[in-house]
Amino acid sequence: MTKLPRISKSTLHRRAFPYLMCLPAVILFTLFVILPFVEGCRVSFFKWDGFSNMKWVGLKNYANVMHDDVFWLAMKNTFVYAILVTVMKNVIALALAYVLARKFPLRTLFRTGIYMPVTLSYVVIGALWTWIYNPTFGLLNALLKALGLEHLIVGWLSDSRVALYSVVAVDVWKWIGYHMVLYLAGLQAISQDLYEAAALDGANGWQKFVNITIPQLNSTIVVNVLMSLTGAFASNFDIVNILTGGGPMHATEVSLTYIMTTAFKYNSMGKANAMSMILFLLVFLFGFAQLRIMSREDAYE
Amino acid sequence: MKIRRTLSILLAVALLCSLLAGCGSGGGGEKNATGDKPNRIVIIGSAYALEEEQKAWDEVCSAFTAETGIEVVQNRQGTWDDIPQKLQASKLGQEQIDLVVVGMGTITASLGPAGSVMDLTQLMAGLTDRFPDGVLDSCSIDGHLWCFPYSDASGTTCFYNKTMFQQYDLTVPTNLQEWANCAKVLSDNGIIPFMVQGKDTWAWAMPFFDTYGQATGGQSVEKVQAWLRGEQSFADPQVYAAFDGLKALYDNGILTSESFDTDETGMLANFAQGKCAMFFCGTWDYGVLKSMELDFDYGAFEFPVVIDGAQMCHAFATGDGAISIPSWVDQDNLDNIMRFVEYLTRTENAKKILCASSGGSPLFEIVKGATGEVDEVTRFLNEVSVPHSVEYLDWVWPSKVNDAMCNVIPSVISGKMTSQEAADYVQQALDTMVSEDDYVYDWWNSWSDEQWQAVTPGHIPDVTAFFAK
Amino acid sequence: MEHRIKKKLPQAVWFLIVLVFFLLTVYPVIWMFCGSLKGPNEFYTNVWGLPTDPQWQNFADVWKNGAMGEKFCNSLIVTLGSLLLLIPINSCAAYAIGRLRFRGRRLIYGFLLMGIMIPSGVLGIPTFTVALRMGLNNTHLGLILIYVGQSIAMGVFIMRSFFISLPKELEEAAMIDGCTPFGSFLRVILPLASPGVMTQIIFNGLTIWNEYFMANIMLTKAEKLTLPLSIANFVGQHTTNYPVLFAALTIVTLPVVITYVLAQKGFIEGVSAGAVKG
Repeated sequence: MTKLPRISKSTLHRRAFPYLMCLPAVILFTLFVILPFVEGCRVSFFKWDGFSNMKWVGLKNYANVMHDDVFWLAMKNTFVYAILVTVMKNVIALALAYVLARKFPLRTLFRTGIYMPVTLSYVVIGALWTWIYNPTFGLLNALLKALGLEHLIVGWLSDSRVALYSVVAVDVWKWIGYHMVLYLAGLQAISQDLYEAAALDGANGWQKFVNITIPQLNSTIVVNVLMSLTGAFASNFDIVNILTGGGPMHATEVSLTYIMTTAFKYNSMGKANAMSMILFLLVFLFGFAQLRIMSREDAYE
Repeated sequence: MKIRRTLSILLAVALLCSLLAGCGSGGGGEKNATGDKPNRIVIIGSAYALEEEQKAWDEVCSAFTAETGIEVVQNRQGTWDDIPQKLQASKLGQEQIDLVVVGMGTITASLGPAGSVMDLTQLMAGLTDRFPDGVLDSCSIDGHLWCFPYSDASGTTCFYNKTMFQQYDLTVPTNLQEWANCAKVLSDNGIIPFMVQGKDTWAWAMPFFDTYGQATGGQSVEKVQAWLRGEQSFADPQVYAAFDGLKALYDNGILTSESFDTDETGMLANFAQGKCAMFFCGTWDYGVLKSMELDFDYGAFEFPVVIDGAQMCHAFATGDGAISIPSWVDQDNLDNIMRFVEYLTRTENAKKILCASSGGSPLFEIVKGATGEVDEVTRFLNEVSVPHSVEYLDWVWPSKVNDAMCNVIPSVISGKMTSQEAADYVQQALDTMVSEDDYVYDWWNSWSDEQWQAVTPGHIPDVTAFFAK
Repeated sequence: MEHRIKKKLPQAVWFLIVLVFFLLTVYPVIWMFCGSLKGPNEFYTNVWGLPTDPQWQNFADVWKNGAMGEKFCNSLIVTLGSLLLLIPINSCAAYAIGRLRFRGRRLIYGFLLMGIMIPSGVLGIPTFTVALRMGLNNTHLGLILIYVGQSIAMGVFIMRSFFISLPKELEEAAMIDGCTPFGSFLRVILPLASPGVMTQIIFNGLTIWNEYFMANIMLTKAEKLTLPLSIANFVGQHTTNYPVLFAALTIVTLPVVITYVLAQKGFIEGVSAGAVKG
């Protein structure tokens, strides 16, 4: 009897293998991220205070958001925030990691210490930096006075010209350690042979950095940049809220603080969700573009 | 080999199983099956501020349980702001909540219009004589009582460093000119004359209550209500005068730029260390002052008149830590609930809890007989300040308006905005609310019968039956 | 001689720069610890200095009043439980997406990646509702599943980037040696991507340990609460008893610091041992 060609059991297993590997992730993701998101999208078409009944309003929430000056100011602030924070975090973290990756006195101590702010809760950070920026008792003003730079003193969190930068400084301070650790890991994975070969070719420190380190770190850089960018859009609520609450006069209002205020203080869940949707779309386009530009896919595409 | 592959499949299956196993096991839903009514009361609220407060509540609740056999579960966790969300989550999860400790401000802003709290007018009718006259007014809207106060009332006031005043031969200012003269002497000696906790954005509205009260001759609440109903515009001379009054503080060197970046703790620290001579605050800060070992004398004084020809007018209200009943309670539990409320409002129990939560002595008498030591500041507040006070304006206008106010006031004070621009800004905030959210000030007038039905208790337990024999 | 000085100079400058950053980042932790030892009103008189009369009982008080012992255990359960679930789930998915060819791979990857861009702020109640419908409200399991679900987007992204940086030939080599696909994943690829796993542990562990928002919505029964929820109880409505608050915060932060200190030795030092050679 001729055996008809049939898919063998092992091939079936082989075919199913990737899907099985993805299954738990997809299930949990759908349940706890996508479903709420879809629900949020649905709410954005209603007028709802979070407690009583919802009322269908169609696109009215979106129209209101478009006309909301504060929302657009918050978006602008968020973009500025994102760019500043990403550049500063990555440049400083990479520099620190580069220096601390090779032999350096007290290297382990420094690596541990610089990571500390990452472990601190926002409550401490709020208290700490409110005191640092305090006009009478604050360390910053004390330092400036000691250096004879008294004329630079402004209301760090109350002057709308500098408030945003003050908050950015705190955000960068908090997360440098985390990015540094990621860069350290990436740096460790670069083979020393490459550097040795370059040295033989007569390359100096800077050339080595630009031509070997950066390209080899490509995926690490992509991860870090993406994290800092999306962090500025999707996870900076706590830090801004505890420092300024969005003031003065919305100078530090970022998209998240405005969304949360609209949802829980003004009890406009519908409008807040509409804002979330718009924010999501913008971040999606932004992040997508960034990934396209920066990613260099290896042999798997 | 095969085992590895099976393992990965098993992982996925185990996950699904655990998901299913999670269903129905230990979920928080305590659905009352018919005939299975737990004989207990659940009260939720923000976390206790003081250890003594928790002890007092525990004592009273245990005594109540001993006397009546009804269990009292206290779920005091988190901050004030968490309460609305907690209520919502509990409602969705069908968890039992019978009493909620919440501020009247939260009720007027969200819980009331949403129909989340019950109309207590009838329920509390037999107990209203346990509260001094006028105390329940803050908790009522248009004749409907939404909560009853159960913590010290609060108001706005100013404190000054007596020792320092004596040292510089100063007297307590009563008007702008005197205040400015005072301030000059103090700042010439390197002392910050007067501070407001400007870093706390919400605090900026408070001095406005004073100046607007002055500008309107004590009619600030009525004027704001009329404005919110759309009967007039916010841009009117009295509002400008109120803004300008605050600006005058800055222009006359009374209020300085340090205030913009200083929060409550910083302000108290400045005062404690003698770096500032006067400050503006809520009466709740008196408790903190009392607990500090200060090496100087201090006293309270009224916010001076800063508008020509006006009378002083401060803010005061009694609904801060009020108790309310969610509108969706199990109506069969109302008897137990009212029994507990009756127990709480007995003089000896109220005194125990209110004294403990105020750090020893309440400043004001919220429940008859629940008083503590009376000192100079308490007497001043009760006899001088409160008679010159009206309701907090930020319990009248909505949060969006309050945020707008708190945003513009520091700008006006520092000269970045004119009074006219500020008033227009606030007016615009209200206009946006009306057009976007269909905001209506007197929501209680626009309710349907159904909505009233949802907040009206099914039956009224006879509280006199619970009185101590 | 000059040559050596020239070399030393940038070294010294770098040392100073790093030292400055170090002080900036370490001082706050010390400040927090000192603060926790101060008297109740000492913050009004002595903000930056050392405590004048160390109040060690602040820790005891906080531990007892805040029922920290119970909350500590709950936080451990939730954090470890989440990590135990999310590491395998994210690694498996990331491996498949990164190194296997199959239909729909890009789709699944894009789908999961969207999660990075979803602002989760307003989604607290909807997420709670999903857990509620599964009967998981007020359970640790529910909270764990939520945390795992929320970690997937970033986790898969990071793990994938570690996986694709490894040479293609590894699986082929392993299969020649007789490994199954899963075996080659488990025994060969995953160990090489251990920095990715460590990154997951560090980042997610920290986030989950400190997480307040979802925990606050999901857990209402006193015996289930996690540590961050206790912190909220020490923040006063108007004024805060800072020393007590800081004592609570020190208790919450200390395990994380200790874990990191112990882990980072193994993590960063050990990575070079696992680097791919030829």
